[in-house]
Amino acid sequence: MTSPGVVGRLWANLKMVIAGSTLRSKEIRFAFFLVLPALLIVGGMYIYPSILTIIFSFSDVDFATLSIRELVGFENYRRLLAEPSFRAVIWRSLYFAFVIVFVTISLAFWIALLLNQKFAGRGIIRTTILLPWAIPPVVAGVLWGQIFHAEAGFLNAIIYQLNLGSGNYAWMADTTIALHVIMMAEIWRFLPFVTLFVLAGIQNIPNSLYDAANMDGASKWNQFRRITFPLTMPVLLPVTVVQLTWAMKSFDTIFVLTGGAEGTRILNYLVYMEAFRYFSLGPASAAAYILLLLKIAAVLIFVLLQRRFIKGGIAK
Amino acid sequence: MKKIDRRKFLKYSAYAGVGGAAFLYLPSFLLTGCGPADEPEVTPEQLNLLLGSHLDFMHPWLEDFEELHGVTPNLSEITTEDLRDRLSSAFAARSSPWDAVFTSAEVIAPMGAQGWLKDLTERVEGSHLASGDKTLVELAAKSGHYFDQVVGVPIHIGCPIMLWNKKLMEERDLDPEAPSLWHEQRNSYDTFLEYAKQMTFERNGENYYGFIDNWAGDGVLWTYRAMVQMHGGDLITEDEQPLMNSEPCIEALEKMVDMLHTHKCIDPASMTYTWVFDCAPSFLGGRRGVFITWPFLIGVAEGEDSDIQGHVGFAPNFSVDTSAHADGSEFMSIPVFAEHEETAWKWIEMVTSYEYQKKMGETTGWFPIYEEVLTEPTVAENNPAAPVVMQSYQYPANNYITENFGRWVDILVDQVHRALNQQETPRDALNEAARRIEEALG
Repeated sequence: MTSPGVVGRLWANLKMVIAGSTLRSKEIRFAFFLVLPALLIVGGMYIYPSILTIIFSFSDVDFATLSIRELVGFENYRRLLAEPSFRAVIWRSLYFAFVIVFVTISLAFWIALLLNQKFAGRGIIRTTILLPWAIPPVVAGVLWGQIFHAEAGFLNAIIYQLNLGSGNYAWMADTTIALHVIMMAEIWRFLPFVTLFVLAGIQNIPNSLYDAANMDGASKWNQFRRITFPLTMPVLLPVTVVQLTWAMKSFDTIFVLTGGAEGTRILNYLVYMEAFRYFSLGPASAAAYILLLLKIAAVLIFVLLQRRFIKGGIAK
Repeated sequence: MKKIDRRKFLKYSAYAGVGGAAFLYLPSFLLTGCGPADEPEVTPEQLNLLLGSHLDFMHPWLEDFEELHGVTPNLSEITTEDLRDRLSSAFAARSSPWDAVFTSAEVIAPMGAQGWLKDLTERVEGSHLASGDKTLVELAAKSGHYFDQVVGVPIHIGCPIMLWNKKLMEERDLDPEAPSLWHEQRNSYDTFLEYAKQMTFERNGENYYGFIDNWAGDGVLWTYRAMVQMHGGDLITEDEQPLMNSEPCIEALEKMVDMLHTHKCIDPASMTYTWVFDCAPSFLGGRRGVFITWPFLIGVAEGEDSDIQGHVGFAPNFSVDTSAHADGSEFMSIPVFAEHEETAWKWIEMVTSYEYQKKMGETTGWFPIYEEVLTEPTVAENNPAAPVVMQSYQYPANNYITENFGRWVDILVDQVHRALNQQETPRDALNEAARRIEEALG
C-alpha cells in the first residue's frame, strides 16, 4: 500500500476538522484559524491576480477600467511570438539567466571551498562577503554604472593610469557590453547568498568520507568530483532553482543601468513596458505567462539534470 | 496568580485581534450599508497638488494660493522620470490622490487616450487664456491637446537650444560668434560639423570633442526629432499617425551616425548619457564644444564653478533646410478622479496668470507661456535665453502628442540606437521601425 501523500494527509486533517469532536481536532481547527489570515493574504495577493492575469492574457483589456472588451483567444500570444524583436527578448532572457546561474554557482563553489579552509580572519571574510547581498539593487546598479562610466569611471581611470589605453571608452554604449555589465552586477549581488548555501552544504559532508578517500589514495580532484560536488547537490538544486527564477525576473539593475535599452531588455522588463508604458494588459499578461512557462521549463530541466547527476555521481 | 501558557496566550490574542477588527469594522460596514444612498459626499475645499521636483520655484506660490483662496495646498513632488508610472498606477486603481497634476507631452497623450484627464476645453475657452488679452506662444496654444480636447494647460514653454564654448572655439582658431547666426543660414549644419571636427582632439591625455549630447534612452529623440524637422520632415503625419521612414528621417539619422562613426566628432559617451546632467561636467569643464540642451544650463555654465564662465554662447539650433527644435513644454492637468476640481482649476488659473508667469520669468530659468512676458525687459534681464527661446519657436518645434506615443517612441528609440550602434543602416533601421509600429498599432 502506498503512503497517502500531502493531499491525502490534508484531506484527512480536513475531515477531522469537519468532524470536530476530539481535542486533537480542536487544535487543528485552531491552527487553521490562525493560518487563515495568511491564506487569505496569499489568496488575495497571488492566486486572484494569477487567475485574472491568465484571463487577461486571452483578452483585449481596457486598462482604464480594468475590464475585458472581448476574449481574443491566443491572439495576444500569437502577436507576441510572431514579432522577431519579442523572440530576441526570449532568447536574451534565457541566455541572461543561464549565464548568471552558471557563473554564480561556479564562483560560489570556488569561494565556498576557500572559505571552508582554516585560515586567520576567516570569520571576518565570511561576514564581509555578505555585503553585496545587503546593498539594495538600485544602489548596486548605480555603483556598477559608476565603475563603467565613460567620463569618470573607475575602470577607465585604471586603464589610463596603467597606460593600457586612452581610458575614454564608452562601455555602456555597446549594448552587448551593457548586457554583460548588468549580468556582472547581478552575479555580484547573488554571489553571497549562493556562497553561504554552498558553504553550508560543504560543511555538512562528514569528514569520515574524506578520511576514507585519503586512505584509498584519492587525489584532491577526485575527492571534489566524487564526494564534495555530488554531496553538495541537495543544496545546489534549490539554490539553482531559486537563482534561476530571480535572474529571469531581474528588473532594478536593468532599470538603473540602461533603462531597458534595446539589447539589454529581458522578458520581465518587457512585461513592465507593455503594462505600464503602453497600458496593454492583454499582451503584458501573455508575456508574463510566457515568462512563467519558460521558468517552469528551465527549472524542470535543471531538476532533471541534477537528479540524474546526483544519481550518476553517487553510483560511480 | 493564574498562569498563562503560550498556547492560551496565542489563542486569546487571536480572539482579541479578530474581535477588535470586527468591533472597528462592522459598525462602519453597517453604517455604510444603511446610509442614505443618494446623499452627495461633502468634501471640504482642498487642493492636493502633484508637482515636478524641478518646479520648486512654485513652493512660495502655495502660500499665495492660501492667501487668495483660503485653502492650504497639500504638496506632493515627483521626478519627471517617475511621473508616468506614478500616475498610471493611481489612475488604474480609478483613484487620484491629487486634484491637479503636472504633466509632460509624454504623459498627456497616453493619459488622455485612457480618458484619465479631464477635458478642460470649456474652462480654457472661458478663461483669461483664451481672452486674447495676452498672446500665447503659438506652440503652447496648440499643446496640451488630445485630439480636440484640452487635457493640459501649459505652465511653461521651453526647448533645447544650442550652447557652445567660445573659449574652445577661439583656441581652435574658430569664430566664436559665428554660431549665433547658424539658425538663419541654410545648411549651416555643414559649418557646425567642420567646427565640431576642429574641436575634436587630445591634449595632455584628455579628449576634447566638438559636440556632446545625451543619446541614451529616449534622450536621443530630442536631437533626432529636431534634426528630422531641420530636413523638412516630421515624425507624424497630419492625421497624427507615426511616419518613421521618410527621406528626411533617414537623412537626419544618417547625419547622426556619421557624426558618431565617420567624423567621430561627438563624445562617444553621449550614447550612455540619459540626461543633461550626465553631459554637463565635461561641457562645464571646457572639454566639449557644442551642446544642444535646456537653456537653464546657461546659468550653471555662467556660475563660479564652471570653467567656461563668461565664454558661453547660445542661439537657436543650426540649420539644414531650416533650424528646428523639439518642444518640451509642461502642463497642469486635472485627473478625472480628482475630488476638488474647482480648487484645482483655481490653481491652474493662478499659475497661468500674467502676474505669476511674469514672476516665473523674472526669477527662474523657466520660460513663460505668453509672448508679452517673454519679451518683457525684466524677464530678458533675468533670463537672457528668453529671446532665443522665443526665436526658436519661430522654427518648427513639434511635441508629438499623439495616441500610442509611448509605444512608437520606444520602437523608434530601439531602431535609432540600432543604427547608431551600426547594427543596421539608418534606412533599414527606420524601415524596420515603420514595420514594427504598423504591426504594434495595427
